[in-house]
Amino acid sequence: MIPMARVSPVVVAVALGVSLTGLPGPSTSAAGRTDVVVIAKDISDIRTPDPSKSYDVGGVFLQFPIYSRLVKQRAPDFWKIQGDLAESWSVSADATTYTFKLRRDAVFPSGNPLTSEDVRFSLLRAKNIKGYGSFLADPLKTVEIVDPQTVRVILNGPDATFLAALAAGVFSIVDSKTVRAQGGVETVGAESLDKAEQWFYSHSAGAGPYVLQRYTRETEIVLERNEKYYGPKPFFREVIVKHIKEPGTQSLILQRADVDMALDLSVDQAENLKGKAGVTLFEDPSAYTVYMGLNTSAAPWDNVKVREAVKYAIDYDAIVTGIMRGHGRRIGSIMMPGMLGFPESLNMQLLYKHDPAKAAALMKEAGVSRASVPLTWAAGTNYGALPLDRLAQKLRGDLAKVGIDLKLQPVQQSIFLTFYRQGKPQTAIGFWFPDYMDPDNWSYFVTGFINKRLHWQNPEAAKIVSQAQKTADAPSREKMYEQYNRMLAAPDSPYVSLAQPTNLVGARADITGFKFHPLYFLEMDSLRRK
Amino acid sequence: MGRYLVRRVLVALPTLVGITGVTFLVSHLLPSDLVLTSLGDRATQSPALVAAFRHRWGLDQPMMIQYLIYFGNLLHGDLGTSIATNRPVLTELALSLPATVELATVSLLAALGAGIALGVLAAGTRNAAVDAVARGLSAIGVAIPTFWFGILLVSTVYFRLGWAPPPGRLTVGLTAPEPVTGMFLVDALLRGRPDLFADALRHMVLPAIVLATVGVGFVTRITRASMLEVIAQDYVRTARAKGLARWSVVSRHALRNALIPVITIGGTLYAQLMSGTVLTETIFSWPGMGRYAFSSAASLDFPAVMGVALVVGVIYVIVNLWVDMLYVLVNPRVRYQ
Amino acid sequence: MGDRPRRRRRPFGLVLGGAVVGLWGAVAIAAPLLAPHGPDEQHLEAAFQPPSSRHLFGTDDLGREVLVRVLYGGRYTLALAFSVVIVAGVVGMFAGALSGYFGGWVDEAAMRTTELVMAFPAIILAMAIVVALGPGLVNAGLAMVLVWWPPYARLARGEVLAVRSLEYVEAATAIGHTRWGIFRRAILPSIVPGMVILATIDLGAAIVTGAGLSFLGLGVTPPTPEWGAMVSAGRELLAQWWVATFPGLAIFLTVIALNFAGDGIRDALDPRVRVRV
Repeated sequence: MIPMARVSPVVVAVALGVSLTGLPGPSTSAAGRTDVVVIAKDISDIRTPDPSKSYDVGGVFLQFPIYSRLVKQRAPDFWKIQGDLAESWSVSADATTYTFKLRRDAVFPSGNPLTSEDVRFSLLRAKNIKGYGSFLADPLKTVEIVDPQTVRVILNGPDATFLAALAAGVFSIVDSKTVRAQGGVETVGAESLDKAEQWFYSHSAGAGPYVLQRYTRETEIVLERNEKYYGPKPFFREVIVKHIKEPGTQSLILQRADVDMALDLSVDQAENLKGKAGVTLFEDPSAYTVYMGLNTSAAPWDNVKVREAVKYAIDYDAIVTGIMRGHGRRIGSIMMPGMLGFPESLNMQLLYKHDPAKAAALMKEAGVSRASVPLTWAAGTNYGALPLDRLAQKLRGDLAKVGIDLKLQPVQQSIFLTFYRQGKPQTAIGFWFPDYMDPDNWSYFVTGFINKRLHWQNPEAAKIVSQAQKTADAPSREKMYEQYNRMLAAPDSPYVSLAQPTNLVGARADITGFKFHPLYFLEMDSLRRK
Repeated sequence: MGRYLVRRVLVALPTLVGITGVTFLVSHLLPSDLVLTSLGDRATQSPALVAAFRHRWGLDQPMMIQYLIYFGNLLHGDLGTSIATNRPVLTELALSLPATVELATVSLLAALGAGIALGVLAAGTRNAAVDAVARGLSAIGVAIPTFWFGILLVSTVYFRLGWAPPPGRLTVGLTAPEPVTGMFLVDALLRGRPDLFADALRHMVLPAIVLATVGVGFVTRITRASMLEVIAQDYVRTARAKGLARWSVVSRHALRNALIPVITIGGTLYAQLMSGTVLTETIFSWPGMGRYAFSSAASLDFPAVMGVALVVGVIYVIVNLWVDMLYVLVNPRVRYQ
Repeated sequence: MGDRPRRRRRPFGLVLGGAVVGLWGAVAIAAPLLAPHGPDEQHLEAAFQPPSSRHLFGTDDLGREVLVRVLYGGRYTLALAFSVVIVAGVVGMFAGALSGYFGGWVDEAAMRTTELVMAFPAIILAMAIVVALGPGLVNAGLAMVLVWWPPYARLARGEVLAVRSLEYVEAATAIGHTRWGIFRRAILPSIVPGMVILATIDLGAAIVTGAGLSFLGLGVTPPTPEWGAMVSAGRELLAQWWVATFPGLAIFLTVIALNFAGDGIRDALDPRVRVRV
């Protein structure tokens, strides 16, 4: 029974008196909280705090400072794979077996040291719990314990990309003893046998720099420093993430110093904050690559020349300067420039010129003078610094000049994904956000996944990416992906690559040590207050 | 009286059942596929994952069976599990409902208080200017779009003036009082924490003003009109003729009877406040049921949607009952069989 | 105080309110003639201009004139509100009147249905319709009509119950008029004034609700310049206050005008009507 204090009339009187006289509340100014950092972010997309199930962007954001994984990729070298819980590793020649040597100084908050059993438990639980991210563990066959510091991961077949996949949030390494005690299970059938998920709402079992105090859905995340962390001690003792959905509100709160950082700024907010005293703007390339998808089963996109014409009809620079206000760049293909197989030089080569005359000529060649086709996208969404509603209207304006009438039909975000996955839209604004940093993660544009929605095939490209996935030799892979990108940018492709927006973050001027990874976001352990 | 209550509750039951049925139909007839929406892109490629998902949520059964299973669980107090969070819908509702109830109640009290005061003032005064001002305020209150007003208040009162705290229920860094009801005001008092009470109340000021505005408008009009009618009635004139002071007549004789229509509108307002606050909750980052209803509907989380619809329906029934009970209290001439 | 005679209000409100509404309506219809250019013209280089002599209400995020969009916006907002209220009013009136007139289990069923609809959270229904049928003005109107009709039905039923037992109705039945005939000629006309009064009061709420739906993204699609959608677009742009303020003001003024007009109509149609709740 909860002991209930009788409501004392004095308490009520004091309470009312305090509220009415408007005494200042607890101090929220920066001076009052040097070792606490408050961050405003939209966390409404977090589905579960259970690391083995997490997959959505918000979920990864939640896991990242709490759990460590075998390997990591840190700013500024996003592609470079560094050891995290694994000190060193070796890969078999056929790329089916990965052997990891674990570091000896990693300890969980419970006091249990890291052993290979924890690795085995975590990886298998991720696969068998059949959560949203479990498909990433499909290549996994089994995990063997060689000795307490050595663990062997065996795959179903050759896969050169799996090492990078192990940096993904779903492969977070948990304290197997603690999670087992809460009903956690890693065997086949875990999806119905595992009972540990609820425990993760107010506890964590990771070896990362922070420990979870509590997570309240759509309200807040509170983290406390992990005193047993094996890495450099983080500056901030406490991290509070406050849920604020609107970028506009985030900006207001940041300016009034009621939060220290705002992570979801839109391009308007960023422009507004530029030059304001007390506020710094941080900008980093995001992992969003945005494109327009043309459904080749619908007129006029079934005509190859029309597809080519569109690529010349768009005023890309206006998108970058006018809509993104310079916070982003053009891309010639759908991969992130700078990745293996998509160097800057190639990106430049593949860019289409804005040439309305040529576009008109191509339309004439195609024999199409007027066309009307709907454009669908997720209404009201921003991909980083790119507001889709404006992009759509700009595209409509551009295409109108060559005789194509784009009827604007935005839909609610959740419905858009479903429609798109079903292949229903005739034109769509799509984006790609990778699960992990390997070029293979962009192969879906020809493997029967994204291209299926647009009813397009390129068997040669599909063969290339399939081969590249199995090849461990970096230079050969590089050549293959370069070829792949050329195919994605070819005139007949249904993809019109548009832009890679940057990610805009605002912070109070006294916050330094800002390091940002496009997939995993903020490295909270490196933040400091001056 | 008791029999009347029981009868009313029994009569309300088919309505509530109807609500679950309609919501079920609506969410299952939608053309979007829940599987595609909930699982990620690549996950839908794996037939094993899809099959597991469909089985987990009973989607592989015919619709009628699904509804019967749901209804059976309902009778045991189990509202099902939310697809979005994998937690019981009851848990999610227990988190979001108190926030809305708290805000709605405070807003209602503010609307009634201000509205009745304004209405009485406007009806009782001989000063035509005062009457006009009161009626003007009422007209403004009714006309202002709440979402616009909310944005206005946040950008001026909070941002430019700094007179109000930022959107949210509590100041960042404060822990909510240990839950008894989930309503911070009540729990703070029960746990002896006047500081938390004050903080929570301060955070309620702006959203309550926004929500109360329309209410004040209506309540003022109704109160004023009703008071004017009552004042013109014979028994009031009699009281005046007997020599009773003006305000005494107003407050003791006229007000009680004039309040009858106000009670009804208060009831309607309260029910509306409970169910229609999504705009205000979004603007003020209030984790209430309006927002929950919206996001559940947007992510096709049909157990959550049905749970919300049911709760709102129940609230509606309860509020109507209260209103009828209050009628009896206020006007002893009204009786129910 | 008690002796003050009941004031006969001059039709000031009706005139003023009606005039404003009429003006808005005229403006909405004549918008293409009044506006210097279309509401869709984008000039990205002139985006976010504050109000000035060149741009009376400033420009929005795509360089479009806010003034022009507000002028055009009246069409959608007013059209949506009027159609919803008219359709819901007519449907509700017939449903309620028939229910009250014929009584019996039809009446019970109808009243239970209105209770169900009124207890149902409208936002869920609106979302469902958008999911099923797509966004747009028409679908938003459909969603609104589905939840808007119950008050009219209940009012109509109440009035019919009151009228049904009046002498001339009983007399008509005795003479031998058909029930349908009586319904058409005696019952319906007597309840219409009440409907109209409710409708005029309701229009303001319909405008605000329609705008609210667009605000949430469940209403019109871009680039339609509906007022609610414009406020929504402007809510992220608090530094560019003109983008959200002018459409909001437009909603506000229209609703006030409608309310005045509604009061005036109520006074004109039935000066002795009691306070209806």
